[in-house]
Amino acid sequence: MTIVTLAQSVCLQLDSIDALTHQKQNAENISATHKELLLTLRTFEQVKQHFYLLRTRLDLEELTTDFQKISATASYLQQQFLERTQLRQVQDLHSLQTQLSKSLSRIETKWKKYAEGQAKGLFDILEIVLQLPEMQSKAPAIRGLETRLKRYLSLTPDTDESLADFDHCFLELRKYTVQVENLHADVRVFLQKVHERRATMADVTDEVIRWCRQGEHAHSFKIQL
Amino acid sequence: MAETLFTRYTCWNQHRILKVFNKEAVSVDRSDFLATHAPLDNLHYENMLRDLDDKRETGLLHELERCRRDDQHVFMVVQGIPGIGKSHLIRWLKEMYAVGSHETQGEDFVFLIERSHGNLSSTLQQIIGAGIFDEATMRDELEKLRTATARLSSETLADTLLDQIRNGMKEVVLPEDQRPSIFIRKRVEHFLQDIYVREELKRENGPIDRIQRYLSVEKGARLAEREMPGFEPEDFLFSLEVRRTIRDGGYKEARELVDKLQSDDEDDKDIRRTLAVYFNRLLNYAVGRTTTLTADDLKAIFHELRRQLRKQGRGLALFIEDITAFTGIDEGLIDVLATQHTGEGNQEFCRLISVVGITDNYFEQHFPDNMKERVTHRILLNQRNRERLEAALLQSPSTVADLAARYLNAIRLSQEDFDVWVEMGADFNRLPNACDRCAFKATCHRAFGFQDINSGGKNDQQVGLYPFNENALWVMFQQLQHVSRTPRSLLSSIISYVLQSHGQKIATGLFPPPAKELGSDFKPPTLQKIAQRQIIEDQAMKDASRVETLVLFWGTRTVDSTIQENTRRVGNLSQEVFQAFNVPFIAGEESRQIAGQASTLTNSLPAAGNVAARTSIPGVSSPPVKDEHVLSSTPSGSSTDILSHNAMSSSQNGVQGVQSEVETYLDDINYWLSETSKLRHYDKLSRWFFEFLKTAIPWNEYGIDANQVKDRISLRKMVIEDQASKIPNISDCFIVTRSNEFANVLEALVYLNMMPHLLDQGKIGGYLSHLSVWLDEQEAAIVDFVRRPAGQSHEQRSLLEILSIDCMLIACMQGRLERTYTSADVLKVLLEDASKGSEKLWNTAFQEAGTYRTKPWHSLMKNLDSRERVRICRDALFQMANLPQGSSSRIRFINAPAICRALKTFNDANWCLTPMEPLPSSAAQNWVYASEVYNAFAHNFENVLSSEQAKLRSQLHALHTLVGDHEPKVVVSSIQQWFQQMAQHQRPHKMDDKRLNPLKLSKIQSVFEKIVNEQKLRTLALRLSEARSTIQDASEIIAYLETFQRTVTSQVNQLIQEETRLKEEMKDVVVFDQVVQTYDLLIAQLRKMTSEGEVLL
Repeated sequence: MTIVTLAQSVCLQLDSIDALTHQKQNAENISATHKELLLTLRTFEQVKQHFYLLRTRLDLEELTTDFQKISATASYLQQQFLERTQLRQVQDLHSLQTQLSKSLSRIETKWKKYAEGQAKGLFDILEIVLQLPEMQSKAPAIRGLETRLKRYLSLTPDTDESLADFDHCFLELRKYTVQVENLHADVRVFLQKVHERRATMADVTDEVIRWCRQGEHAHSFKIQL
Repeated sequence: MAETLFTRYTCWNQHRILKVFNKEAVSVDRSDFLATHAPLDNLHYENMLRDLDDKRETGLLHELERCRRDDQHVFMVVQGIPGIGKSHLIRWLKEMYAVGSHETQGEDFVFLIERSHGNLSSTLQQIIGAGIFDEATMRDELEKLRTATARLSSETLADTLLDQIRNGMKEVVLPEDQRPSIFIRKRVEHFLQDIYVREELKRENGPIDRIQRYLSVEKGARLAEREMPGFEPEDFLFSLEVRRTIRDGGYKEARELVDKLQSDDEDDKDIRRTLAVYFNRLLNYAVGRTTTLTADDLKAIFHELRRQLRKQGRGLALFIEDITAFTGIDEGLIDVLATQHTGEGNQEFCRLISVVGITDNYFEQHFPDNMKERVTHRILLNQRNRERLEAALLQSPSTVADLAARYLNAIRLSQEDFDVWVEMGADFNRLPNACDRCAFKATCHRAFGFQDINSGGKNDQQVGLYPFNENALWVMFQQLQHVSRTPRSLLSSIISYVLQSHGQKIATGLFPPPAKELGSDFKPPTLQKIAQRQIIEDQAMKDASRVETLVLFWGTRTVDSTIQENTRRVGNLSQEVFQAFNVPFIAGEESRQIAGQASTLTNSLPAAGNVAARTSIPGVSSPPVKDEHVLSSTPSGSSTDILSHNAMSSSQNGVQGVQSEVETYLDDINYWLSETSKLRHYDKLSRWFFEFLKTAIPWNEYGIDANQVKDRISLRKMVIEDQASKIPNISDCFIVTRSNEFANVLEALVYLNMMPHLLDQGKIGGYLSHLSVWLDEQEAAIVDFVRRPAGQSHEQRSLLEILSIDCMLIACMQGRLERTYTSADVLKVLLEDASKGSEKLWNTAFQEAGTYRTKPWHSLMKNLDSRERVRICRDALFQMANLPQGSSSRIRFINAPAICRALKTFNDANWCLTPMEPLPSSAAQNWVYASEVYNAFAHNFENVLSSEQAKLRSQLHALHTLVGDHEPKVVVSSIQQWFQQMAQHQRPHKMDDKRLNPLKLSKIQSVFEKIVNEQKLRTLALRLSEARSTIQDASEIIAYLETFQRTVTSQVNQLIQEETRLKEEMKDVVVFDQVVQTYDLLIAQLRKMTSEGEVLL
């Protein structure tokens, strides 16, 4: 080949390669965007799941605004993408993910608050309940329910089943606590102090003694100095 | 008898010549011997027992007879150079002594031992055959002599001699100072054992051959008269072939010694002499052992003989012609001769009177020093004359004529005439005289002269000298060359030779022959007046050479016509002389002088006879000499020249000194002209002659520069005829032929150089005329010779032409020429090239050629500049082209037309380079260099151009391959685009962006195409020369383009791979739509949640 042909060939090749390189880079950007978008979508799915699962129990109104913003951002990014002005949107999508994550965190916070509110005093009462001799046999079940319920305090239910389980645990434990709630106040104080190992003879009131004389309750307590 | 015409007359018997003129005195018949015997009356005695007043030979005879009477021992040595008459005197003494002894009742046994055949064997046979030894009483001694004789006849004599010399090395104890060097002693035994060395020593005329011939009668050819048996230093100079043979197969020690003996170093020459002396010292031992006859044996034999004679009451008288006849046993003989018969232990011996002939050489070198004191009488026959020895008895024309007359008389008469005379008592007063019976006596004696050979006797014995005269005999005798002036040479080389060689020509009217043919051992004299040669030729015509011979030898060496006693004489010779030889009696030259012609010259021969001696030099304004040189001449030749210069003033002496010198030169020229001898004053004459040629010929006009003239007009290159030995290379020389005209030139140069202020205008004009006439004839030939590089060269072009061609081609190779250049332009280039600093430009071009030109081109440049030939040729051209104006060395006048002519001629021949023939080493350096450069071109230039053309064709092809049919602009543009692309794409590369000029590329294509299509050698050469920078550009550009091509080709491949890889990688990438869809999904759900949330809320 002559020098002219060669030189021209090289020039064309260089252009071609340049284009290919550019294409490749775009592809890589698209791929990265796609990858990040999938991650975003995954986060969104979590938010969406929690949203739809808990929207009836929690106050999620404020999230609607967030969702609108996220939607607008996503639309913008999509537009950018479509216009190929920003094929690589990893950073933007990552921000979008953060926003979604925040929404999710807010749901979880609200849930925790909600769950804790539901379970407030329950576990203290359950400790008194478990002092009762007649409840000793049911202690494992109670403890099991108690553990499962506590788990839902830190882990937001994300399915209908888990939410139903939460409700079930709560309701079962409430059943046990009802027996205590029906006792005299002195008895409840006495039992509370015994649980706390600070019950004194002064706490053994008549109502307490009486209650002790019912069934096998008296044998369940010892006096120590 | 009535006298008829005395012409073409022969008065001698030709057959008597050989018999009478026998070189060996002892071989001549007794009566002839006595008839021709010329008494030796001026003997020189040395180491005598007593003072002898009588210096004649008779006085010597009386001394011998006195010693016999007084019973006195005599050991007489007659010493002299060969041929001086030793043998003659010894024989005469023996004859006279024998007569005296006979008269005293045979008291002595008188015995003459001849040199005979010149060998020891023959000498011993003489002794055996003499009857001196009694067969009965001296059987053993005789047997020894016979055995020795037999041994000397042995076929193995040569090898035996060599073996005995080798044995002598071990057995002969020499004094330390006579022993050779250790180097010789260590090698000499192997030297003599070596078969090749032995063969060389035994070669014909080699040392062993000489000794063998001397010893053995069987060897045939007798030893030459002067040859001494023994080793000579030159005997060890072996031929190259022999040396090669010895080197290849000889003993190592022999080889070493032979090599050393061949050297020309002074020390090594001494080694040759030392070895010769050493072998000679061993020679007596070797001869003694070879013959089984030692010196002691000989001594014992003679002692026994003397005892026997003593018993018989007789004495022994030994006359030994030559002691060297006893070589090998000579020491024993000398001992015998020195042994007296008196004193205790010797009284049993008889008295011994011995007369021994000994050469000077033998007496000086071989005669034992202790024996010299025991010589009782030593007679010297030599006389030193002008640094050479000659016979004491032949010191005047009359003594020469006297000896000649005796022999001439002898050959005119028969043997019987003298036998009768001897029988009648050999009385000289009654000696037969042929002239007394001759009818032409009066005319003959008047014309040729006579000699009274019995002056002081009772009767005159006037013997005519015809066909010689006294002057002829004397001139011939004086003109003897290479032989001593002895009685033998007079008789043998002159009288006998002339008569035998030319005597018979008298009868046919062809005597005398041309002067140079007359004698073998003597050379002819010269004409006193060179110009008279022409007169002789004009007047004598076909007999000119005979007339010249006649006046040269018989006459005054002139053809001056004079009147004496009413008789006209030419060259002082009467008409009768001319008539006797049937030679035309020419008119000769009246005694008047012609301006500018050769003048009367003085005779350079020793004063003698009737030789004219004039001292006037033509044209010389010398003061008039009071008295003319008086020439007193008689027909008999007893003239004497009388110079009357008594009143000569001191200034006259000065002038005469110059004249004398002039005469010497003119004599020299004369001798040379007559082909008698070489020019003795050749150096001086040639220097004048060369100076004349250098200044008289307008060399510049012939395009010949001073250096050429200096080289060619020199002793080494130009030679006068018959002086060939003066130049190193006879084949490369200009020989100025012998001619009257050239002799005139030399004469003119002598006068004009020696006495320019003493010549009158007329003479000067005459001499200049001689020079002009000769030069007019010779100039073309001389110029042609000087112009040519060597004498045998056929080169027609001048050095200037060759140098012009050389320098132009050199400039062409250097890339200095262009097609459009005119001769003037080329000349300008050549002159620039000859200027200072041009070497640097040449060196630059040479370096460039190594890179950009073909190897043959570069090699040729290298070859051209070998030994700085380029610079030398350029300098030489510049020097030759310069026409000096006066003595200024700063002002240059360039002979531009000559160079332009040379260049035009060369151009017209389309630069056809016909190789010059090889120059001999004698050629001038500039010619050598010029021819070497020229031949380098002649042999290589065309091939070099072809190679260069082929290279450019190849480059053009390569260029076409690189650029194809694209316009240079497109090519350059593409390359630039590539660079831009590379920069744009940030692609790294190693190419240097040279920013090619498309015009250069176009020029390369254009110039190269014309070169490769060029057919004419000259145009091709010029195109190649002017394309120097283009070729350089082409080489660089093509190399650049090739690099570019390689780079880009490689890049294309890489890019293809890269593209493929990229395309391959693109296969798996996510497509665009997937992202869009995902977005759609996300956004839709978000919107749903928002809307649902709002609804819910």
